[in-house]
Amino acid sequence: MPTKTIHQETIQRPSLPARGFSREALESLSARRNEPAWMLENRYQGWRDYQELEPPLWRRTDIKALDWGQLIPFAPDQAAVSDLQALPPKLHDALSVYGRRAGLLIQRDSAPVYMDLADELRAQGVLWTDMSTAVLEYPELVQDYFMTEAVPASTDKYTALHAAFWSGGTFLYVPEGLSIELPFVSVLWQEMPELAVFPHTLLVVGARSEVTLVSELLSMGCEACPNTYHGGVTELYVGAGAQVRYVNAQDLGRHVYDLRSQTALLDRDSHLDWLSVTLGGRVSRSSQHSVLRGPGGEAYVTGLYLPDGKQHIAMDTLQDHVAGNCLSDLLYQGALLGKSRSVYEGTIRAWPGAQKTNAYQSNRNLLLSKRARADSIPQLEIEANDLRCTHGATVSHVDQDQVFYLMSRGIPRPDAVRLIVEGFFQPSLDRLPPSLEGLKERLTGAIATKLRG
Amino acid sequence: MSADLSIKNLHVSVEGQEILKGLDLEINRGEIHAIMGPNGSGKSTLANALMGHPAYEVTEGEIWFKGQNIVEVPPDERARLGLFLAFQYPSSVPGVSVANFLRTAMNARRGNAKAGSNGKSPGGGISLREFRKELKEKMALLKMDFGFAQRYVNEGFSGGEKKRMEILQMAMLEPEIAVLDETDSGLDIDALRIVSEGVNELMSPNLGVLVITHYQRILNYIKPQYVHILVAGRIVMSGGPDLALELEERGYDWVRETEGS
Ligand SMILES: Nc1ncnc2c1ncn2[C@@H]1O[C@H](COP(=O)(O)OP(=O)(O)O)[C@@H](O)[C@H]1O
Ligand SMILES: [Mg+2]
Repeated sequence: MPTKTIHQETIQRPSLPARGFSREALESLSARRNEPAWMLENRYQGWRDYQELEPPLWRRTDIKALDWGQLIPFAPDQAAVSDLQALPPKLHDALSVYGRRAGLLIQRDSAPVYMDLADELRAQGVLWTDMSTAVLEYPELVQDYFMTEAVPASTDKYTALHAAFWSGGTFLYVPEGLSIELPFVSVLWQEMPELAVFPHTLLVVGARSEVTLVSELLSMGCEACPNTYHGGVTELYVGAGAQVRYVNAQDLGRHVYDLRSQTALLDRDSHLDWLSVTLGGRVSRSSQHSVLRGPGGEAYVTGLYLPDGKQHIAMDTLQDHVAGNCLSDLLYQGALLGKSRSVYEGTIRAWPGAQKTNAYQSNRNLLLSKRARADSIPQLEIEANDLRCTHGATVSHVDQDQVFYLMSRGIPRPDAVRLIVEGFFQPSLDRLPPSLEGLKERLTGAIATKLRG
Repeated sequence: MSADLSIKNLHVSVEGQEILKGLDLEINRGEIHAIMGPNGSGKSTLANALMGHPAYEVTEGEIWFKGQNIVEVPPDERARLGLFLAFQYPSSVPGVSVANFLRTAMNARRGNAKAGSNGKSPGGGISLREFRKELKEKMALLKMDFGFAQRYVNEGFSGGEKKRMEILQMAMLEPEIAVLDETDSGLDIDALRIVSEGVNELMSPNLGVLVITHYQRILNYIKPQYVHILVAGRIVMSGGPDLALELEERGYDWVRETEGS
């Protein structure tokens, strides 16, 4: 596969930006990226919103320990690598599970270091690059879709900060009527301690196209590192009749506070299959919103989380039925170890006139420790009267008869528990297609590693 | 020389209530024993206590197997020593395939407890090829469709399928002493024949079997040399194969009367 090395600015060994967020820092970031005036204006607007907005009222999630003033607001540029072997081992392992692929993008902190794209896709008009390059090369597309509809900058204080300081991220545009079987893979490696990263994922899929995108967030494990921040925004535009599969997996270090807003907009008769995995971070709070805005849309929404130690993982989902005749089927599953805590808040909303809605929501939690705690808060906002809607939440412990059954076959207790937990997660993992078999195996391995402690 | 499995004066309590009240039993490899008893007499309690279920508390007595009293030995270690229990009510394990489960169990049984469950076996357990070959053979023996291997353990299995699954595990794990707890219940006559033939096929000088039942029916197929009758937590009568027939004819009241006199 031919590779394209990303164009690098000619800044040699740039000095680290000053700590803390400010208007000057934002201007410096924009200038270093050679951004056009409209993007600088976007950033200014984001900064104004950030200053005006109050932090959201989260009753259960606490990020007070994060010292915003100590954070480095954006990364100095990094050199591209031509040899994937030169990447950190954990990153290298992550990449090894992807066999043939449509395109690969690797970023270190927020700077792209490697990318490739299959030639025939390029010829067919597929656009695949890091987000900063997209701003320079495809300004009209970015202006149309970047924080306009799916996740507007003023959604909350943190999306506003993202609008002001976003850097790096993934841009994939698929024109109409293209069926792409192999997955696109984007991996972001968050490396520098105390550096805040704000990657932006923008996926625009034209009518009747089919595509798979996997987005992984990784960093070294680090308990002792000073806290840092990951403030991502993901926007998925699924065109009429398009079929999109999106997987995002977060396995960041324990020094990372991870706040992510993710929204998909589904046009008529489109199909979205979306798995969101949360394994890492000190505190992680992510949203996964699916807006069904044209009739006939289908959203299969899956969440998998596995906190341990003192991790806190909070998630909110929205199945937003704006149009009638749509289906949303949500399954969120988590297992909790140590003193960890999860908070799941799930809303099903059916707007007036969203008749013939089918909406299902299920949240299942497995407590693997007496000190872990899982909260589940479902919410229904139903303004249509002709619909089918179910929701249910469970919190359970490992079944001791199952453990005994497996042990009676010679399987030691820790392996018995591991098998049961892997089995518990199977309904989520089964939603991955054969083309992502390697990822499925690695997630299974990650679950096993967590259980070994 | 003591027997391969030797149970001495076993007292077992469940939730503080004594169910087994001093039970003695010796089983050698190569032998088939049957324990018959009415419902609630403590047959499953004996089976679970032998395997080490934590809810079944041994308050007195000993279980000798492989040169040690295994009363304090955890269930997985008992299994690795060569003890096997075909459950009356096997658990289902959603999301875990029969193949994955059996391979993990075989690797454990063969002294390779660390082997992975996702197709890899670090430390070199049974190879995937070897495993599949063996699984195919044993499934054929029990007339099970190979597609079963990909189903989740006991999930949605019929009563008869669960019992076959138990005997399949016995076939794969090659125990030295196997306890079959009401393996005949829930089986129609054809399935009973297939399962019994499977057990007979597995019989060898290296395997001792304890068949637990409350009907004589299965003993037409799996022929015990020794029959014991369990009533209210004690073995009240032991004898040869004829005892089962006599019991069938006269009923448990006869045993109770004989014992009382
Ligand atoms: N897990 C258990 N919890 C509570 N009681 C039990 C349990 N297992 C057995 N018992 C009690 O012990 C007695 C014997 O039961 P069991 O050993 O299952 O008899 P059998 O298998 O001969 O029908 C019964 O009174 C039963 O209620
Ligand atoms: Mg019983």
